[in-house]
Amino acid sequence: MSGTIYVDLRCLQDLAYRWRGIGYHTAALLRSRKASSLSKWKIVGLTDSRMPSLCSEFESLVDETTISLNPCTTNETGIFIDGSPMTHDSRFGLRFQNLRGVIRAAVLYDFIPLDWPGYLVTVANRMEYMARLARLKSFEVFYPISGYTAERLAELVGVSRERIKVTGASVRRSLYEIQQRPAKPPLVLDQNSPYFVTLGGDDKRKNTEVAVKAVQRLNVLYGRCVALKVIGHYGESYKADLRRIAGNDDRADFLQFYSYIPDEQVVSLHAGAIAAIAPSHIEGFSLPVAEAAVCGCPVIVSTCAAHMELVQRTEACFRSDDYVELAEKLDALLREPSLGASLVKSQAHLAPNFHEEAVGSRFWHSLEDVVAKRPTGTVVVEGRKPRLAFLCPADSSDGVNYASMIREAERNPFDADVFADSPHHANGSRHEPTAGISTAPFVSGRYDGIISVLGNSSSYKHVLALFERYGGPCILHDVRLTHLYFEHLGQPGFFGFAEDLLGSKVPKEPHTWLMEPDPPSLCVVPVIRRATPLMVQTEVQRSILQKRYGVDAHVLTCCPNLFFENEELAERSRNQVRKLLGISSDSFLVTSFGEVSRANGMDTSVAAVELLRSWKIPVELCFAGDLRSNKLDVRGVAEFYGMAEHVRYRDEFDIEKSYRNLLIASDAGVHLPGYGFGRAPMPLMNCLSAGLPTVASSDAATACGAPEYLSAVPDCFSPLQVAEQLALIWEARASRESHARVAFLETHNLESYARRILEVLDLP
Amino acid sequence: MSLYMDLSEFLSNPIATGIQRIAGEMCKYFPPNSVAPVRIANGGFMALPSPLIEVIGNHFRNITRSGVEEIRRLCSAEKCAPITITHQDTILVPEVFNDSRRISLFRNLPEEHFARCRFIVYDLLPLTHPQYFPPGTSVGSYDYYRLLREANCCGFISEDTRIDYYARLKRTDLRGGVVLPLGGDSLGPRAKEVALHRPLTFSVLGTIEPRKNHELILDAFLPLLKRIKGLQLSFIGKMGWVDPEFARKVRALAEDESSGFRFHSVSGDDDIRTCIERSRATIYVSAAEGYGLPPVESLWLGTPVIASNTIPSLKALRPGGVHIVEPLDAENLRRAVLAFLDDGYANQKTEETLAVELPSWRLFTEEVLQWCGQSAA
Repeated sequence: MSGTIYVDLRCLQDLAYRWRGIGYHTAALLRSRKASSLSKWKIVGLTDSRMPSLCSEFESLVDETTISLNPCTTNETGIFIDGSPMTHDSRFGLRFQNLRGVIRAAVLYDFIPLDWPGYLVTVANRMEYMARLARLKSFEVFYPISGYTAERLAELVGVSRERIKVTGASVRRSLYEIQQRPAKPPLVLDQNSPYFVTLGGDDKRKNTEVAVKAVQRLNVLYGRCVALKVIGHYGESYKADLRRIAGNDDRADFLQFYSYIPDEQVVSLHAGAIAAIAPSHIEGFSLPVAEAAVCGCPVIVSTCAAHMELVQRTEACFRSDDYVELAEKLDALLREPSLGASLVKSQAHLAPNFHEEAVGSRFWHSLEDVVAKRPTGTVVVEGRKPRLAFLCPADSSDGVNYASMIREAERNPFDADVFADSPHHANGSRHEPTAGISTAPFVSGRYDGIISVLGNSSSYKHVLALFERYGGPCILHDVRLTHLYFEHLGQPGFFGFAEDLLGSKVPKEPHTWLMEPDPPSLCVVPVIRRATPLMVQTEVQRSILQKRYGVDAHVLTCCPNLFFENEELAERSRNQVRKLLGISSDSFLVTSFGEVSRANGMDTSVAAVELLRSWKIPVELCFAGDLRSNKLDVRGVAEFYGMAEHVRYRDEFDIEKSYRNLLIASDAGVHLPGYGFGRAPMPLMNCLSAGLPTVASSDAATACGAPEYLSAVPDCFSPLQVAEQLALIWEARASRESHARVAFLETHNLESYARRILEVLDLP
Repeated sequence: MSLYMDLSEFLSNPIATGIQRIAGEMCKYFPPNSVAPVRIANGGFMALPSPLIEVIGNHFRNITRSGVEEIRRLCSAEKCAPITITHQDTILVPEVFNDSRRISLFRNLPEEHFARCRFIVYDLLPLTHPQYFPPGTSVGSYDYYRLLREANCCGFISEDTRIDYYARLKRTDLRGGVVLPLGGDSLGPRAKEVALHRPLTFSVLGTIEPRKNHELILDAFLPLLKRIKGLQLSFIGKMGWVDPEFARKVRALAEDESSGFRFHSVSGDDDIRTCIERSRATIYVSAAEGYGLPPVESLWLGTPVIASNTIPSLKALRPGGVHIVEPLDAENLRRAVLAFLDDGYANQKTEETLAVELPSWRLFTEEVLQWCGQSAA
């Protein structure tokens, strides 16, 4: 059996955890995988792009790393391991929470923030912690580092014991290696300069105070120096407090601090110590106890639950708030060296038990058992169509209408839901989305793939926000996303974003990129990094991404949103529709279906009409596309060229029905977008679907596959060039029911598009 | 019955280059008092003092600051007087303009007055080759071309321009108007004899812009400049609308004294003449032209030309002194240059230039006057 293991590696990115217990334990678990049968599985490290980079030592522990958190289901079993579910944003692994076929495993350290005061100081802290606690219910198996943590897990979350396997925590390999170096002269305890060691840090629950007080008592008792060597990083203020407890004068000399010392020194300090003291009020697992055992040093522990699992002899235990009791235990060791040797012997089993190979073995063997009991496969075994979710804006009129694709494709190879902010209107129908754009599909677990649809307008902002967090399969309608990011980030944010993309100061105001035909960056790199896989609509788009960024995107052959029966396009039907729209049978109706603006050649179209009429061609121009706020401008241009009576606008018709009727009734289409970067504009695709002879800019024509009834003008077009092509269409008077149209639709249709999506996602 | 010449653009910006040059050259050769200068102001035509023609002509013979000042003085408001155009008058319009008020004024003239306007048409390149102009130029200049299309009487600086005008802009098989080839003698008298065995210098005259194919020329020359001792390439002309990266490359190459490449963005007529006379050949390989004056000027001065086969001015001439590069690409251009490195070939081409019949500005002016004296087409 094979599969994929996904591991949340944020604790190895986070500087607060990377080189501490949680980081060491996670890295140790990954290192020890090689002894398991699961070593044959692919292991993918999940990282957060907003956190510091993973260092190479940790990158080598996985086969690959990714910032995409939204994989598709496969027929193989998967495992998701969260190495620290209680310390970081629990929404990170949302997709895996309920994903079919994935075993969810949580590594747990403690519930100290809940059990000890001072950690969850604000309401927000507490709410976050409770949310993470609640999310634990979504895991299947749990790997706490101690029996104490296991007990608390069962109490707090109601998890049954069968789902819990206590692994212990891994002691650093370096301590074993140093301890096992070739024999040195045995260290003779210097009875004239005896000392104890304790490991702690700035956290007051570590209770270093009690060790200081106890050793200070011994110093008073003996009237000589019995040192306490304190290992760990303490802030100056805390050190001052401890010195005050120690006596704050010459008598405080017994207190010695050791910060950031190498492991060789840790081992040697332990080796020469009478004993180590582990005085914490509460722990999840006490690494100092196991480390002392590795170093061959007896350890005296407080009676917190985690310590009691490891050390049972009463001579080695004391109540954490009783320094007198501790002092007595320490005194016994000073007076009877054989007691120390006896304790070492009784604690010796801790060393091999918490070597990372032993800890790792317990972890991976448990996972192997869980995997063995799990039935394989998901989609095929369940005998159903794949289920997909599409996150897209309501008005993706510049791209495929996914709602239509799902509802109207006769033989849809998948079941799907559309998540959009509002209903989509098309062909006079209103399509309600399944729900708004949110994390709902990620939580639901019912989708084999969750696909984000992105394009270059502000209507994609919500989709982008989710995609930036979760990544995954992505369909790009545009390969240039300058407008989208400008709207998403605002001008100041976009300025910084642009500098990051270019790796240098930007030469001019970045918002001018919105107007440039060839901007320094297409602002698509962040999407490329997160998309798994990346899909585009046309071969031209694929080629652009390959040339500029070296990325190989998958091509879904774009298809129209509107389809027509042959009867609708027959001469008689067309005449009836023309009559309905009030269009004379003698006129040459040219219609522009795209968004109306000067950037899209509005003024060129009107000038071309003026030229055509000077050639005695009875042309009428209609702007059926979205006028936005440009109607006054269009009217002004029409009046300037003396064409006001020959130009019509969408608001003169009942546009929902008339958009389609105009595709039937028109004699020619015109589509002159600004630089399209290989985009197949939907208005143009719909013209082609209707068999409408159309004049388009070269970029758009090439992107659409340029069937023979599509005439191209250069991307930098002139009214003369447009008029000449329209004149040729007028003179040809070609039929709409052409073989070329049929051939075009054979490869550009919703069913082919849907099948291609499944092929790219590798879903059956 | 008067002949007026509309100099509105020139008078607001009396530069001596480009299309303004045509008006200036005519002013040198107009018989005294044959043409009255006018400008458009206050919604109509304003007559200017008749000595202005001579002053402009003198200015173009010898460009000086005082000449500009004198022109400005004569154009001042108090020197202008409104005129009323009659149906017997003729208005010569030798300028290209986009000013909507000026276009409207012409369009709103009574039909019989508009019929008396004589427009000189240079090219339709913004409409036929929009890719060679900044975005928006084509539709931005369309109203001017609409005016030309409506005009009754146009003169064209080349047969190519006339064909574009009738076949494409008016979309008719008819041909009208006259062809008025521009003069090649701006830079001084014609060479009576030519220097042979010239140094290995090749020059390119004209504004640096995509249509003129400077990038192609540089691509062709760079491998040669590194290998052939004494080979030199000069670009003479302003940096126009080009890719900033190409502009940077040109400047950087020019700064490298060992590169064999020179760039002169500003040069007086004397310097240009000297440069051409000392060149083994000039290079003119535009992708599209309305006429192509620099190769004619080069031949006038006795320097042969390496050219593309798209240059209208050269198509009208009898063959001689010209090496056509066909098809136009870097490799073929390189071959042409290598051909000229042979003294025998270069000398032969140089001597051929003496026999080529070339138009002059005096001839151009006479033809314009004759055309303006004709009744409307």
